[in-house]
Amino acid sequence: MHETAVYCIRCQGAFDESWLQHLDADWTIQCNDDHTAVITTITGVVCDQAALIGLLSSLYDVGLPLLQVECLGTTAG
Amino acid sequence: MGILIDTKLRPPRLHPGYTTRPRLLAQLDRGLAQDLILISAPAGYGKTSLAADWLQQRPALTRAWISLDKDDNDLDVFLRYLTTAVHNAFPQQRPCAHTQTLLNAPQSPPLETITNTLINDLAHLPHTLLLILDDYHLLTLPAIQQVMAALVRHLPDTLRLLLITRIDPALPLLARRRAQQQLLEVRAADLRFAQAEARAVLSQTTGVEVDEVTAVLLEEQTEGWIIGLQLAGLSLRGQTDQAAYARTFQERNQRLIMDFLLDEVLAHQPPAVLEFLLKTAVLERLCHSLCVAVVGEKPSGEQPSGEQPAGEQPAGERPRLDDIARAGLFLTSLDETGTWYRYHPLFRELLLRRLAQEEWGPAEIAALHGRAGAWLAAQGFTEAALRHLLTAGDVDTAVTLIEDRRHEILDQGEMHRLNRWLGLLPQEVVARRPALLQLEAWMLRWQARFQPIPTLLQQAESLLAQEPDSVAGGSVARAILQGERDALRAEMAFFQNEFQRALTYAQSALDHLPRHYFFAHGMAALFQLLAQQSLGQTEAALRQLTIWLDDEQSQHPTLRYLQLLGAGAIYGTIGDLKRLEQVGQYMLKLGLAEEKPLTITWAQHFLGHVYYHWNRLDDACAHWSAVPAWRYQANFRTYHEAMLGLALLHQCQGDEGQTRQTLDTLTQALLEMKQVQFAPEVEAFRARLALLRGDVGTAVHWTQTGAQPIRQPLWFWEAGELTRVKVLLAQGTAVSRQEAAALLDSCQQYAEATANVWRRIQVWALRALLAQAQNRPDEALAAAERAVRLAEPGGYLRLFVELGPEMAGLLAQLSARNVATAYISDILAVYSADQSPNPDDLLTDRELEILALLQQGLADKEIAEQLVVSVLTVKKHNRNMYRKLGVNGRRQAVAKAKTLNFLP
Repeated sequence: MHETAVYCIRCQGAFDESWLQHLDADWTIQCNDDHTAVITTITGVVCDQAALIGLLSSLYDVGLPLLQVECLGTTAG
Repeated sequence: MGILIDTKLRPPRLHPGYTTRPRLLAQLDRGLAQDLILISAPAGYGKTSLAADWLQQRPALTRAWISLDKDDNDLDVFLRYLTTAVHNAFPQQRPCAHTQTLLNAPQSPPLETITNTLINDLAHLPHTLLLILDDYHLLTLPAIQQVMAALVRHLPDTLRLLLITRIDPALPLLARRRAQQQLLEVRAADLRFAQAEARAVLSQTTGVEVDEVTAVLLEEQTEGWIIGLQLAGLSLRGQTDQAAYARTFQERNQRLIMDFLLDEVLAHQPPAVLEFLLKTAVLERLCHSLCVAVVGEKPSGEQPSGEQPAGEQPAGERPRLDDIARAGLFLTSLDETGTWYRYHPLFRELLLRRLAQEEWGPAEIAALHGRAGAWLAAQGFTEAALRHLLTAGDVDTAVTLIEDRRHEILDQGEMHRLNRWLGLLPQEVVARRPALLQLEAWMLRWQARFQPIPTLLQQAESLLAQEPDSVAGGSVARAILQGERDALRAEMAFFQNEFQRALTYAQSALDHLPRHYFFAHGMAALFQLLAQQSLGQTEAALRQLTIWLDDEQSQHPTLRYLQLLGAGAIYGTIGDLKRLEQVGQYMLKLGLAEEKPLTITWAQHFLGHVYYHWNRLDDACAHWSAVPAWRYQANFRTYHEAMLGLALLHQCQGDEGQTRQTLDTLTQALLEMKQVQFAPEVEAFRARLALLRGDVGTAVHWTQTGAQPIRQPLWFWEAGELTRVKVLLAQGTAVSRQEAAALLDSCQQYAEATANVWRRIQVWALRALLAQAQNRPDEALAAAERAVRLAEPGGYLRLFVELGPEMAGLLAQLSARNVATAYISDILAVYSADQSPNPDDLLTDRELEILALLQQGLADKEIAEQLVVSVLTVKKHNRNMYRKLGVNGRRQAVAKAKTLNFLP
């Protein structure tokens, strides 16, 4: 519940650059465009669930539908 | 403030047994060095209690607390709470007064204006303030988030922000702040209760010492989650083998621990308590008598209902709130006196979910809301009552509540509240209630959107005709509705120049409306007065005005505002500038004391008008210039008039750039505020100003293509007809003079019929100029004399000066014939002062220097060399100079400077 964990979030659509200010510096963002749909994959560390839900609702606010949220594992500390 | 509940603006009180947490308090103390503190964790982690404890232990911190509810997710409501909370912290200074007046504006200003005003207000706090927003995650509205984002981005030095939230907020640069340690965070991991703390809490909740094994088990199960621990503690009560009980938790791991715990806790409650908890969960805030109203005096076992679970026979009285709070059932006291409480939000959510699952059906739950609504309505908590009533589906009671209170709120001038109440109702409900349709008409009037009003009134009328008396509330209610319609129609008829009809409506409204309906009755009285005046009955109107002003009831602020408005309208129309000045000064004092922008701006316009005509241009400028800052709060008419006044003033001072800019701003504003009906007046005014700077072509173009403004009673600036006459005179052909003569006849007829001295002065002065142009000197002098005689009591100076040198000639001749010599010499003094403007007032020394070099034909580069400045600097000076002179190039600048005697 309140452990730091690495999350991988996939959503449909492309990222607006200005949105990066919400993210910590060590997040990676990858945008795949296979000509049928643009999928953005965001990977990084969230410090707890409040931060994760905050991040997801920001995605909701900018209108990027969520495709998948996956916890890749908790990190020590 | 009405919608506010004071208990929302202070932190909830801590439970007597609250365990203080020094480690976290120290963490928060460190946060004061940063400007933003975030307490972010899921529900039930003790966030609010921690903040409340911190504040209690740091009494020296100036704080403003807001407990947010889901109903506060509305920009207007949120900002009202925010500004009120700040004012509670600084009651003397009231730093957010300006933002509050914006919230009361008839049309919402753009979000950016609100945001900037708020940030600006908050930048002027007397000293550091900690602003705490509890349950910040409930504010999901994009508009609120934008305001908060801007506030965080431009956080004033004197503001510290503490956000308590279940979800990380979408604020700008949060990640960067975190990285740069400009943000203090207290998160779930920090809030988690360690084993020792957990044991203390469990023992405290259970009432007996809890052994260590049990504490460790429960701490692991709940992950140090305080509300879970408390629930666990509650369910431990009366268990003989605590550890064995705690182990059963593990076996039930499949289920949500929260539901399980709640089941356990509720299962141990006596039926009366259980029923009380579930039923009162519909309330956001509880006090004893509200609970009694909702739950009923006696437990439901004694009521004839079959809802009681079999085998349970409750006895005795209702549980009391303080008992429940003492039993640790998540009830928090909200005030010193122990009157108001609220459930822990998470506990309440669980209870509500349970309530819906229990044997109570939707009808019974609706009945709870209905009873809550009835109690809240009776206590004057109208908005909370409306929400409960509407949740209960009891639209009729909600409607009646609004209808019953509408005049009281209209009288208080709190239109935004009525507007929000109306907005809570479905449109089809409004459409079948005459009183609500008419209330909507009042709201439209407030927003200066008159066009749909007649249809609404018509609809109300036909509904009333169809319905039997009982539905519309009987004959008294019918009379009041009739009075309201007549008052609204009186105003509309008046501005359509149908004064007789306006008078009839106004009188009928006065007959139908009780005198203590200050606003509606006052509106009728106002338009009775104005209609009388415009029917030529000046004596009667003045008599009526005196009676009205002496009325004992006139101490009511809304009524006094209407009376003073009426006085100003009449005095300006009959050319009594001295009385108009008195009214303006009185209103200004009153408006400033009451923080009423409507009053302030009318006062400033009245004073601007008086001082302009008395040629006290600096005073006029000071008053008119104050109006644009209140653009959204003012009546648009006031803003419009003051802006036209300012444009004219700049023109008199020869600053044509400013003149143009002022009119452009006005045009933009009327587009933005959807007040395009003012556009023809602005266009006519542009033509009038064009004439003043000798640009007849532009003015003529307006007469050929521009829309003619509607003829207006009273003393508004732009009477398009008179400007048209001026243009025709400037054209100077026999045909144009003939047309001017015809137009003047019609203007004169209107001015005489409406006993409008202000208009008559202008008509006679223009008649004089026309006769002069037609070579009829005697007639010209006679007309000029009429104008002078009419204008002398008011002391108008500028009105004549605007008419140009021909007028000065006529005045001089009159003076030579001993007509009003002292007055005329005052007017002529303004003429000669205007003729030789002081160049220093307009242009800087450097600009005059460059002007002289331009006259010599030097190029910018040569000028730059001679003055030892850069070419760019010269160009900049040129631009400024052109703007001030209202010209487009160097040749025009030199020519203009010559006519102004700035250059030889």
